[in-house]
Amino acid sequence: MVLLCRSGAVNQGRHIGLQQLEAVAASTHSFLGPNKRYKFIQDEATGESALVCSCYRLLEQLELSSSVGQLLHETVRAHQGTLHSGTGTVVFLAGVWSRVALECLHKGISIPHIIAGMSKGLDLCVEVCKRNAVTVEEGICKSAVQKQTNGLFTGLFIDTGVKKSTQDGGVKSINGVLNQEKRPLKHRIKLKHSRHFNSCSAGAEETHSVDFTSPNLHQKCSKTLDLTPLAEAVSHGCEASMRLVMEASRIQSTYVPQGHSSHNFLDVDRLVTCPLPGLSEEHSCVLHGYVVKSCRVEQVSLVKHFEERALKIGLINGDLTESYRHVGFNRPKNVTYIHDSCISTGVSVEQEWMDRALRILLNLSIDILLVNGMVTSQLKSHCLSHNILVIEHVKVTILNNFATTTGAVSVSYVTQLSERCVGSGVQVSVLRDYQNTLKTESSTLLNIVASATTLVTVIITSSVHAKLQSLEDQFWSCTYRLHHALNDGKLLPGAGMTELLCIRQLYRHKDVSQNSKDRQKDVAPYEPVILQLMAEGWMDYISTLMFNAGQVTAKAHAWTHIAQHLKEFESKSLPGWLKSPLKTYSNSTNAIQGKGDQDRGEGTVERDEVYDNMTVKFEAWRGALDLVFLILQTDTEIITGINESDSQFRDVMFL
Amino acid sequence: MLSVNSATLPTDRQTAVAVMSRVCKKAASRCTDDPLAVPELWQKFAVLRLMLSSCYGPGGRFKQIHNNVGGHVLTTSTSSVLLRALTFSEDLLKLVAGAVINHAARLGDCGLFTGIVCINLVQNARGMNLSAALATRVYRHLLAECRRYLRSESCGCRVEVDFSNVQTLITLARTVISSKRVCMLTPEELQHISSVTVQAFLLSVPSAPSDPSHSSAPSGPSESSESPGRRCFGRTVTIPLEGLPVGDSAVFPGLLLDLPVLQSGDLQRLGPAPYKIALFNMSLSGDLSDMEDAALEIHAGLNPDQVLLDQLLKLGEQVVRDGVVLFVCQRVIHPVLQQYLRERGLVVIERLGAALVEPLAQMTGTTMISSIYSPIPAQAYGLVGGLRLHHRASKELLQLLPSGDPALSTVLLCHRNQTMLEELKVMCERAEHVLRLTLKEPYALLGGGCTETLLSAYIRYTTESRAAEVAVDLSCSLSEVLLGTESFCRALLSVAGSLEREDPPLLMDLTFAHCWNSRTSDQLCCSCGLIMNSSGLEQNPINTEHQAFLPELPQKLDLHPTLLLDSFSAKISALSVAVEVACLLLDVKYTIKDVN
Repeated sequence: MVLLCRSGAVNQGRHIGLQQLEAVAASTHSFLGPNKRYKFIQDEATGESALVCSCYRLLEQLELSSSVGQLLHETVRAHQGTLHSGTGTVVFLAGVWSRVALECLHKGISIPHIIAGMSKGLDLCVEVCKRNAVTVEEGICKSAVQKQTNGLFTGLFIDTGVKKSTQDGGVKSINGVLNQEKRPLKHRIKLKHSRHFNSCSAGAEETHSVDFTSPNLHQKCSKTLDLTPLAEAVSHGCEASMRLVMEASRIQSTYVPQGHSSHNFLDVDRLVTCPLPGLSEEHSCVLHGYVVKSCRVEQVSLVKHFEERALKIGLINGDLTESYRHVGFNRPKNVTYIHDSCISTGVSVEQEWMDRALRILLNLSIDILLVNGMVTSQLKSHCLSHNILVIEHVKVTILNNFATTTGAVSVSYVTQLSERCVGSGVQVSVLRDYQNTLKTESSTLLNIVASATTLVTVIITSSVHAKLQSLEDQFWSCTYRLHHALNDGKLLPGAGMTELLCIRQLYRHKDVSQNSKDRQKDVAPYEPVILQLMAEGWMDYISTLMFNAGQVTAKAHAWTHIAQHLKEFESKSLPGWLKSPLKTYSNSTNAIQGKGDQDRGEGTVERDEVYDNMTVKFEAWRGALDLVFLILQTDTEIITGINESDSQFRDVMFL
Repeated sequence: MLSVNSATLPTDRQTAVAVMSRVCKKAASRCTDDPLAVPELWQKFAVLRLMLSSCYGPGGRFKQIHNNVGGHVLTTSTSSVLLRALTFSEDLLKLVAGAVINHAARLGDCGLFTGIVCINLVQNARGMNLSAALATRVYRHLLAECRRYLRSESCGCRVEVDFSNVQTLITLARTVISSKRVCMLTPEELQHISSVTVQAFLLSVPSAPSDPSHSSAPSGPSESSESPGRRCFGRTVTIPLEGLPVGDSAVFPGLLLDLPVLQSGDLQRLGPAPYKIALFNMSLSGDLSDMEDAALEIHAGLNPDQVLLDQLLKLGEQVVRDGVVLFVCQRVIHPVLQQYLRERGLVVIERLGAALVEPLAQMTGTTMISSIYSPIPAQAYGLVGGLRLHHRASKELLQLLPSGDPALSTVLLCHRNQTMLEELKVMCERAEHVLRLTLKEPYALLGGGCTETLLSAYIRYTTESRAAEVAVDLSCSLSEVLLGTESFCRALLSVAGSLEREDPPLLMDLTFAHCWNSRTSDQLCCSCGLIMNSSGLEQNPINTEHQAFLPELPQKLDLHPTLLLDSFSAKISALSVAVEVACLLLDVKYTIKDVN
């Protein structure tokens, strides 16, 4: 093994690592904001292709081999792993701030100064955002009031982005149509809403029907803490997915154990998704219990036989095969078995094991067996013929959930099963709706429900198979946005407002530090330049957002408008500016759309109902800046495991 | 960019041997005369020096190390991490790298210092045409001079560590941790981590034997096993946890375990502490792994797995009978045994890992059990003072409290991402190492390059004032002594020079011989922070000619919290290692390489 050392040093203001980062990030600009565009990724070697709609999936598919690509992927993966949303912001800002750092290097600013200046800039932004954060209660109360007059989702700035891009900002649904009819504000529109948006706190007098055929019920408005307006505020254009989240939350809160507050209940750990190709997206739904796909007709008839009965359940955390041994068990390599010729029963070990396993299951009268790993097909058939339903490949978290809710104990070997390990009170059913619609395919959905569980399965359907992954991702990011909003208790104004605040804060501070003639100038001589560049980075963010939303045809237009808008407010120095920054932005964006749109005032009121998660945003900013600093301060890339004869590495140094 | 056409001859021959090992006769060993004169090697030395010096100090640049085929990218500016990840083709480079790694492992700090000084000493000697024997003599003489000065009372770059005040300790820890920017800490975070490190260090210092409270303390088995006159350091275990803010880092007495599956329900059923613990350092998975690759012949009617499981259950039976509450295994425990124990109310922990078994045994006074075939002797069990569950983000952490003296503490380190956390972990461990060294030699050296400038000024002065005498002692000419001294001082100053890489060079004042940064216009204080006012001080860029002078001692030592302090023991040792390795390198006449 030979080692080689390549300098990524700063040569005449060029920093290769930062340039690479900027380039990678630039390719993801279309993922910013609610109107995401899909990207096709094609593997030339295999001919396979993938459809992606988020930075996380893009980087996962790209498998960047450069060290910068690797670091970016690591950062995004870590962010996704902990917060499950906001990777677009991470990548975008990593790119923008790389450009800021490059710009600074170009101007001859030393690295310690760049770091000090940019850290200062971020601190300023975080500080101003914290000051302007809205508490969830406040946000919800406000929304609840406005909801009575305007209704849900009517003028949301953003659309799902998956279905279609909306130039006019109106959602082309029943609600959107109502909105576009330009009813005056005082007209109280009795809006019909999906009953998914009823939270149980609001709907004490309502009966929550799980019937999927009647999609609309009247919405009762309530000023008590109600998830609906909150969900609306953080749906970010994914109304359909958010509707599923709300439905999941509603189901969970009905089954929440006694003593727990059922308000605002959303347990992300007890959510499962089940992607189902072949059906159109409207068929997505949420069901209480654990839904699995079953491909065997016999299983279906068995389940029909089981219906309406409380069943006994066993949980196996491993494979259900004779040869399975638990993790950490090393098979002896050098063993020979000596056979006595006289004792030969003719029964194979495998057969013996299977008989034993079946005997155990029958003795304990287990009806359902959930197995984490795989099951020998022969045993599966045996079980079926003895009326035991076996489900393979069940995730450990689900096994654990069944363990806690049914009193079962998950075991590694079937021989471990005893009375004490068997749980009870489980029901299974076939989802008939889907059985009919899925007739062409041979799969059927089975629902396994433990009576006390808050486990909820979200069935995500799409007629385009390639989109399922994105829809699933979308659902999870909605779930986590709501989850974080509840955890943080605070929200940041969304739709670019937060970033606008940051720009203003940076400009203000820049002016202060430029004018001050005191010693501070010696300590941070380049601060104004760096703050200016960072503010431009935010400008880029907002203009990309506006461009992606289709409000402007070129980023430059957005740019000039934002600048002009900021200037206006600075000159007027309105005292209330900070209090209602959202409206001003909405007005401004409205103006961009042309004067003819003025009568769309109703929509603009709605716009401020977009909020962002605070923790997610701050973590994304911090993560992006950390990455940029890490790469900025790197001057050497060392590659190990290279063959010296490899012609690719001619111009490098071997150590 | 440097490009070297490395000798490909040996590799070619090697592959030939590999392919036709029977046909080829053994190749003759390759012998290089005066290897340091080979330009390629010379160049590689220069690259290594550049690499090390560009890592040095808080402004140091990072190195990304990754494999050609992909995988994790390691970002670091720490000598031991960097050099461990590299593979060198030249033996002399390996020698330097080995010396640095070894030094860092023993003393925890000043690894880069060792490498930079060492290579500079070699390069300066060659560059000034000093013969190897002469350079070696002068260097060794000057090293002895340095050591004498640093240990003398008149030393100007040494401050005493005041154990009655925790501030000096925090300053020492802070200087070590802040020297690596990969950790990416804000000033507040740096302060927090420094105090956490000092806290962990203080917990690891055993209480004085004269302490009256000690004898009345509940005596765990760990104490009875200690000989009365000898006290040893407690251990500190570091648990990194990614994705949490640095502010969540903390010290816990006892052992903190980050376990994937934990039955928190188990803990609620437990009675009052202390709990009996059994600790196994072998696999209880019920396999035949302890047989290694021995050939086994088994009768077909016999099921070895069942036999072993029966044996394990017999063990479980005894453990339950003996009233054990905590059953811990370094490796895997058979699920059947786990189930058996859990059903009887025991807390079962498996896959503890080799790194934690030893400290746990020490803390609980347990004898580790390594066999399942004999009954467990009663004295093998230990005691745990209590169990506590902590929640951090989505993780559950189990704290095992010591039953007596906290001979063990756990530092939970949190950071935003993996790269930064890895570096932080290394730095915290090094800082604690440095703090322990102060117990042996309760001194610290001024940081920020001031020790190097001061030492070089002193060496220049003493040698010049006694040059003739020294020349006789070393049996060489006067000019040779001065040349050797110049080489030595430049090597020292090059370390200080590594601290600053973009701005105008560093300055040295000609009164105290401290190091000054020329960037700040009004120069509030020197690099280490000890000299507060530069007015009236004549300053020279370092590495320029100046009249030799004896550095003055400042009037009073103001040990304020923003001071930079380096480890005394580590730096003295680093200087010795650097000089010794440099002398060795200069002495190498031939390298002989077996290329078969």
